[in-house]
Amino acid sequence: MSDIAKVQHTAESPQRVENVKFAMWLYLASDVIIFSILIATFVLFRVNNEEVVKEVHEASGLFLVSLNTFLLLASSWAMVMGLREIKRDNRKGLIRWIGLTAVLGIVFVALQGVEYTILSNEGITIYGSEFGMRFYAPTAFHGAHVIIGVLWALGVVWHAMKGGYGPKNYSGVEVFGLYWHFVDVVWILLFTLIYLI
Amino acid sequence: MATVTAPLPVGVGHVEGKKFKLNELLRWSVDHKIIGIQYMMTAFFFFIVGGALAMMIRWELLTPAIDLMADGTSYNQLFSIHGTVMIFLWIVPMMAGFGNYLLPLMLGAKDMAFPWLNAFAFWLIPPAGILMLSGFFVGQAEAGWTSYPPLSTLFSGDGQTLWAMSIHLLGLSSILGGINFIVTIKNMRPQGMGYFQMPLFAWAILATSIIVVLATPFLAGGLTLLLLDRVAGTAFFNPAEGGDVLLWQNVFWFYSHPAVYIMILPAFGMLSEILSVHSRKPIFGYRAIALSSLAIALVGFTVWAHHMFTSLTPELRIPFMITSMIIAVPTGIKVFSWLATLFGGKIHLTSAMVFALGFLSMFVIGGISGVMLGSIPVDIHVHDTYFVVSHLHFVLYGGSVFGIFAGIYHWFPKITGRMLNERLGKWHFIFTYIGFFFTFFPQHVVGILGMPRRVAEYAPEFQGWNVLISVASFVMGMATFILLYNIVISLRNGKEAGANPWRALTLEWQTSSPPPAHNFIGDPVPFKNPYGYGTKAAWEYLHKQEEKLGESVDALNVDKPASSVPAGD
Amino acid sequence: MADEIQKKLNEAEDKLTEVKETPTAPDAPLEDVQSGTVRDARAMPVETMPDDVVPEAVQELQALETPESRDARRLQEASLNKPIEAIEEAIESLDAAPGQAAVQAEIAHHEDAPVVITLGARTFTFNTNIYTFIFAILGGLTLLEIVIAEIMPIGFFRTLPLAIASLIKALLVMAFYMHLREDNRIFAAAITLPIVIALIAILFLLTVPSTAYPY
Repeated sequence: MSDIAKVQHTAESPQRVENVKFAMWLYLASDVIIFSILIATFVLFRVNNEEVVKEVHEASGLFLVSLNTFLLLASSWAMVMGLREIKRDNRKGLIRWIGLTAVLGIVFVALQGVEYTILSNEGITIYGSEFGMRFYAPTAFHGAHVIIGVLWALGVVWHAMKGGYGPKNYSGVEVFGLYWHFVDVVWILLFTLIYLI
Repeated sequence: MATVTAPLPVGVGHVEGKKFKLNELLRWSVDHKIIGIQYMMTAFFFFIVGGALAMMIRWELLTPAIDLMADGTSYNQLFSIHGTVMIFLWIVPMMAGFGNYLLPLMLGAKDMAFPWLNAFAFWLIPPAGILMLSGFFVGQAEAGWTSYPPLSTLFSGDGQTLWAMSIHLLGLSSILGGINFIVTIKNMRPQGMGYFQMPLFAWAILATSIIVVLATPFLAGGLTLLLLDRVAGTAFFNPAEGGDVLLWQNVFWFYSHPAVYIMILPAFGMLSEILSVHSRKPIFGYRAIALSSLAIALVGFTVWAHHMFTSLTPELRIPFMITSMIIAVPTGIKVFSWLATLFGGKIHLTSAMVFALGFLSMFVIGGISGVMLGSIPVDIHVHDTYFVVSHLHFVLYGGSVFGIFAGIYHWFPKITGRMLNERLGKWHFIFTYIGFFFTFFPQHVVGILGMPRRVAEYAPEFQGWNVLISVASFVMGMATFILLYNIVISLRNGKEAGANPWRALTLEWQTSSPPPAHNFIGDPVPFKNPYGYGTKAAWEYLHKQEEKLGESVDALNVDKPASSVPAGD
Repeated sequence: MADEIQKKLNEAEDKLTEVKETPTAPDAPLEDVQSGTVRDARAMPVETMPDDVVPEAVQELQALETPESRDARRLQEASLNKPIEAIEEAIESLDAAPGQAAVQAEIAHHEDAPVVITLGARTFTFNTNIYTFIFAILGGLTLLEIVIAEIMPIGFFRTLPLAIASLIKALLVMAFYMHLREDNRIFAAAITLPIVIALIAILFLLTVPSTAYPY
């Protein structure tokens, strides 16, 4: 406890902040490549099998996934608002906003689970259908990212409740923000690519 | 840009560091020097394992019939694991080990940017190695190190799944290490050392890390799909169920072509250091060598399909032939720069230097056969023959491994504080060089004559060649034990090296050997030109260094008059 | 024993810091450097090297050169060097990126001020912070996308606006929420390079005839 109290009043070394942020960006760079391979498998299928994709879309509908998209966008917004609060030395605001981020993330994962259940009831499973495997691989990989992000968000909230972070010491929140926004960006692209186009 | 302020967690790292303690190397440690040694020792262990597999392959190939192995399947397992172990568990971790040990020292930093992450990246490797080898108990992978489906999806045993998980872990380890290297190079250089005053080894590590971060995820993506195919019942690579078998080949070579540069670029960096130091001459074309590393890293992403000339439609082959030829240009720039560095220098034929010269000669042969393979007509004729095997080993053994050996002889005094025995080093070189040449050069010939690779039974008319190859390979394998013996006796009885036995100007020699826990006592002052040998200023700098850090062993037999610049310095 | 070693270390440290603190002292290693930096070494003309350093073959070549032809060669070499020097400067300028404090000040400046947009002569002021404003745009674009997807038939005129809209959304999040707009340029470079490589890979995969066939 005392250690954390000490930490929050002393500014972080700017080099440390710079290091951590750069490392996060490099990690995201490598994540871009993994996602690109999974997305490529879908795009290749989509280009060659327009009709199959269309049928699946008409069967599943857009409402649930659109709701999910709005949830994730909102969680991203909550995330950046939380970062803004801690810069103004408002730890309560930070906890509230990041808590909201985590809740929205959990609801996202839950709704994705509902969607998967609906789809597999219609016979679209990862092992049983050409569309299925290419649909589940990227979306589930993204879902795994969301789950990790939710756990991380809860960690940030827990750390903040113990009195961590301060107006000069918030790189932990900032780096988590980079990760979370990246997950959001990937979903923005996946949503358009898989569900809309 | 910034000064050296990496925080080291309190209470870790060795304080004095004069002794080389084994139990320290078996524990979790965040000191980059210990992690570097851990990498190197783990990698060397797997070098012995992979080497033993290679010896078994050569033993099998002494006769045209299957005799040592039970059947072709076990032969397939042999060369699959030989290739994978040598690439993913020997060369890549060994280079990471050199990078870990040397990079912070060369940059005058106290540690890497993320010491904990560094240790974590290392400790992913032993479990990955165990996973890989434990496949032998459940039906080892038998699809070659390239693991093309359907061999790897429909035919291979459960070992293939373990293989894929193992490579996944190794890839993660590489990516984390690469991120660490890039951040360290960008943010932790000392005051006064711009990008273009860095040692060329740091440039090589930078280029390597860029490839690692951007290319390894391709393999991770591909392996994820492969694992899904094997475990979850998907059919990404199975055309019978709507998959695409070419997808794996593409994705694999998206990674693996850049990956050959992951394996060779650090060796290039070491060579730049060693040639310049041991010929007492400034490196020729510093900028050219530095920027050609970056050029190789970027152009390396555009050439992958030359591994698939025989599976592509004809019109797609031409662009990749052109880019493959283009990438020979920056490599050629490096080779000519090194030759120009040697020209007119005062060459000291130390063990490190002879291995570096061995690298130069053998790598050029590998490069030339690479250009031959890059041209479509030749490739179509010799694809899947021993010509390909020969090319690969000329660049990976004649290149990377000779570079690693040179690096061991050059930096062993820094790492342990003792010199390696030069006489044994020369014998090691002679046997390795001759054994290597007669192992792999005849493979060009049998390849052109049409002996296919990856087969245990071959036409009887190739037996003469194969006996020669096998005998030479046994010589080469035995030679490695000379190095091991040398290391063991030198650790106990070697000459005390002192801080700077090679009279080198880079920063890693500006501290005691082995370095203390935080590398330097005070902030080291870099010499502005890391390769300014043969100048009065360099001589004075080294003279001052000697006054501060004590006399080193006179490994280069430099005559040191008090007032004038000696010829070699 | 340990004390002795510590004492020696302290002495060595004193000596080293002495030199570091007085780099202008006449005996400091950085002074009197003939070839201080790599660039200096390059600039050093060959003629000024001591004779025993210049190899004989080079001396012979030098003897063949007239002053005019030498100047012409120099000029040509300088022009050949220009592109490489431009690359070198670009890489070195990475070090001149704004410091962490400057970046934070810039971000703080943006995130507190109300959003003002000037369109021609007219000015719109939104009494909200930039993040909420961006969130509103993101939501609007998503709604627009869903509407397009519902009413347009599959085809080029559906794909194009959808692709553009989603790219705009992604760029907005990266520029504003991830602070790429104000932050170190190298972060933008670090994320752009893999996107370019991934696009090359995907486009290539699209041109390769697929071995998948409907059965």
